[in-house]
Amino acid sequence: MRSHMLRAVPFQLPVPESQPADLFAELRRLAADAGRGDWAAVAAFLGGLRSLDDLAVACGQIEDKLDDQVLQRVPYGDPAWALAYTMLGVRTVLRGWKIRGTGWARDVTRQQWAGFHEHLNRAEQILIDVTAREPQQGYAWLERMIICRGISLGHDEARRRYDRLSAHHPFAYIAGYHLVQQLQPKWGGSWEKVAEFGAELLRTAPAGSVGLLAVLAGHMERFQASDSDVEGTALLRAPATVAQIHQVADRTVRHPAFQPGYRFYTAHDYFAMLFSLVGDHAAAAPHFRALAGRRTPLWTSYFDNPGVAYANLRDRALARG
Amino acid sequence: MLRHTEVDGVPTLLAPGSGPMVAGLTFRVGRVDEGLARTGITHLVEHLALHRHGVADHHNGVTGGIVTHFHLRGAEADIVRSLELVCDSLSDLPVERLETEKAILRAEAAGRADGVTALLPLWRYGAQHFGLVSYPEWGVDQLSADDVRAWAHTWFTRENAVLWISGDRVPAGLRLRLPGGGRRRPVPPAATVLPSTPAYFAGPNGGVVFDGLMRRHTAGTLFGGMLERELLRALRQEGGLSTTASASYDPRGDGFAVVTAFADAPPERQDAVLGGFVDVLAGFRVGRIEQADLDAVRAKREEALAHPDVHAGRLSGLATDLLTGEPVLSVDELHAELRAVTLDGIHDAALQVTGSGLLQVPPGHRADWAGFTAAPATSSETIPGYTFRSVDGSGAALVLGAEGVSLVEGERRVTVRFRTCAAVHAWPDGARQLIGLDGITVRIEPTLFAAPPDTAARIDAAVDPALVVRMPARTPDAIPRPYTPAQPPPTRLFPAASPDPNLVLVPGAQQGLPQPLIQPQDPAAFPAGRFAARPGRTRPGTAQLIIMIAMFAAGLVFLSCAGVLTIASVEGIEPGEEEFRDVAWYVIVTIAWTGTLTLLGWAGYLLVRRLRS
Repeated sequence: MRSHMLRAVPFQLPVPESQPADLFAELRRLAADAGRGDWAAVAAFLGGLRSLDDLAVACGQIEDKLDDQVLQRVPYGDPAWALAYTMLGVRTVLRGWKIRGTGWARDVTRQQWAGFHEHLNRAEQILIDVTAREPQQGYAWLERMIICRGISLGHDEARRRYDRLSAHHPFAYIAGYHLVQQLQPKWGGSWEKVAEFGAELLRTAPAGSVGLLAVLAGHMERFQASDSDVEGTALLRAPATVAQIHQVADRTVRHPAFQPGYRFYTAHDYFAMLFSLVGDHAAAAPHFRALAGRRTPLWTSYFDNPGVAYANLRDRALARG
Repeated sequence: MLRHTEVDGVPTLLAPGSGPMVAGLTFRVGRVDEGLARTGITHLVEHLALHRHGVADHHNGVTGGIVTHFHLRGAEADIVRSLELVCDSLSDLPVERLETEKAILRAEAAGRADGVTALLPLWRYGAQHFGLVSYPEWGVDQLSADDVRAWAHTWFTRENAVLWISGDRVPAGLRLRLPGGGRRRPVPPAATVLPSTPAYFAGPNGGVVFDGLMRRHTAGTLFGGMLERELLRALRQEGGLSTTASASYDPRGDGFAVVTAFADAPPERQDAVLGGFVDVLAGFRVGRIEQADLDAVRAKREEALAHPDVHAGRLSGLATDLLTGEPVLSVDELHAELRAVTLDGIHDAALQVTGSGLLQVPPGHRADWAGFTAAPATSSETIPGYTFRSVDGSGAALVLGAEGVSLVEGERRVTVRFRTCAAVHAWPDGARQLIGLDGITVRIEPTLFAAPPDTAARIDAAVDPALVVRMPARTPDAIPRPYTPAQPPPTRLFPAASPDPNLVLVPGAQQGLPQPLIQPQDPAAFPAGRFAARPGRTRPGTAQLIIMIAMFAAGLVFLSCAGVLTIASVEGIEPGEEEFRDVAWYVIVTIAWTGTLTLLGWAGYLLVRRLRS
């Protein structure tokens, strides 16, 4: 990740990152339940979540806390079976990544690749079973989208998985986010494909839909992948892009039907960083106010010193807003 | 409805039909019985047997995998005459037509497009029995009049035949003068070469193909229908990925049946068609099967059974059942069986079929991620024997042993043992291609390996002469040359690994020249990077040439320095400096001469090596 144009100001205190469990009390309780291995409580809570985005955020808080044996004991026929087995798949993928390491592909040894692929293949086979038995299980399709990228099964297959997911969970932000990842040049796609997908979302997603935030993910990824800050900012400041960011804002955070659930902070993070980067600090101000001094790990994906960058941009926005 | 009788010792099936009379004579012989070196012999006999009818009549022959049918349609008197002609011809083949019919078969083969499912048998069964249907008619060229006569007298006998007629009686005066003294021939064993299933291999472009086995049961026909329905729903209606998808259920003749499925895949949608196909199979495997789908497929099947000509239409299939010793079911019995099939029965069929499945994926794709094992394209061991390196220095090696031959390239090897050899293609220029019963192929090109000149003769002597297929002479440009750097660099990994005769036909060639598993003349056959310098074996490349010239140059510089210093030391010794020169001067001169000799010597060694190679 390259350094951001806003250099660290010495006296600025970095704003720490907040995990969903820090931001939402019920997720804190969920994590505690999972830590105790209380599957019944975990399953009851997760079963009550209606949106795939909420489910994905909640599961993200406990995937590393539950024991494999606890999950394997959930019998087929149990209402939480698909959830438990998807989580098993997710945990298998995480173990695969642990073997591979998060470094550059060129630094990964042959043995590490073999272990990585073996784990991802095993996870995929668990999830093939889950989606075969319960095609409406969006969480499993989501993980299959991620595996699709990990073992290079191709764009069309990623899109097919996204479509299968969307058939039951239309316009989930997290699914769109992962499709944006897949469509980027670094995974063999192109920025045209990312832009097409963004336009498709704007054309098809109903107002208030959290899935529209994936359009913003496309812009942030484009900014991050550019060769220099100047170039990246110039891309964001293109009138069509600025207009699109406002269009998304009008249909999400500024729209009465918008129900972000656990994506509340993510949504405001996107607008806070994007409006700041395009130089419209006044537009960024309400989002920094909504964030109330919190930030999600999203900043870490796009800024070298996320805490400092956040503090700087916030101060500029609030000074003018 | 269905009556059994006998005509001249030939079991006969009668069933009513509307329209003109249809009759047929079916024999329990087909491509699975031939052997790789004789592929096409049944087809040739079928052509010769029909010759006397001329081509304009409504007579036809079909050479299948396990049976050969002669179909006749027309007035009763014509059918009687035609059946008698076929039988007389089979007793006494018009062998004077042999070369003409061979030419017709070659033309037919050239014009025949292979079906999308053509490769599956070869990968499942190798180059014998049920696998033979994947191979071209390689045997046709060298079959003699005696060969075809013997084949007819062994297989086209009254004991190995069934007559079937749409009508209520056998036409008066019908005589079947077939060769006698034979016996009812069982279908050959269906031995698989797949070490584990479900398995996969990469086939040509076009789509995703799958087959799997189950014990023969009416549930299979319904499962096939449901599989087709689900493929169409998932890949065409829902995903817009494929334009066609199909599935079929075909009895194999040994109590088992094969369920085959196909979905086409445009090049830009191959990943998604493969993914969707895998998910459809998984849905059946886990038992996500809807009663409504079963009912819909069953209703369609029952509707087909309600057709007025159903009895006549089933006759050729029933003749096959009779010949293979399987139960011959009436339409009522079939109805009852269809009605008895439950969702559990479908799931049981699905479990058998998916468990024994073989998946053909588009080129460059894999299916290990979905739990399919790669079908073997190489051998597990190398034959003990003498090793001959490839002359192009690629590191490939040919091993000639007393028991067989191997080609070795890195960790990959292909081996054909003489005693399990299915056929040997022999070219006049000395090239030999051995195909093992497991479908693994080894091609020996004399121009590519420094093997002894009598290699071809030794191989010919080591295998059964009946397995040697003489190939026509090749044009010089069809004979491979060693790899040279001027050719395009290697790009693919072991692509010729498929023992697939269809991929191997040399474009435009009348006689399909089969390609070997490892193709030393094709740089693409070697993993990328294999042509990097291997000390001691490779021909010096450009880099080495530059090093050699640089050494010569440096050597000359040292030589001139050493010369000047030596001359200086002999000539102008200045007084007072002798003390210094005694030590340092001579050290410097020695270093100069040592450097000269080392550099020039090394460069000279490289030059000699280059000239020798």
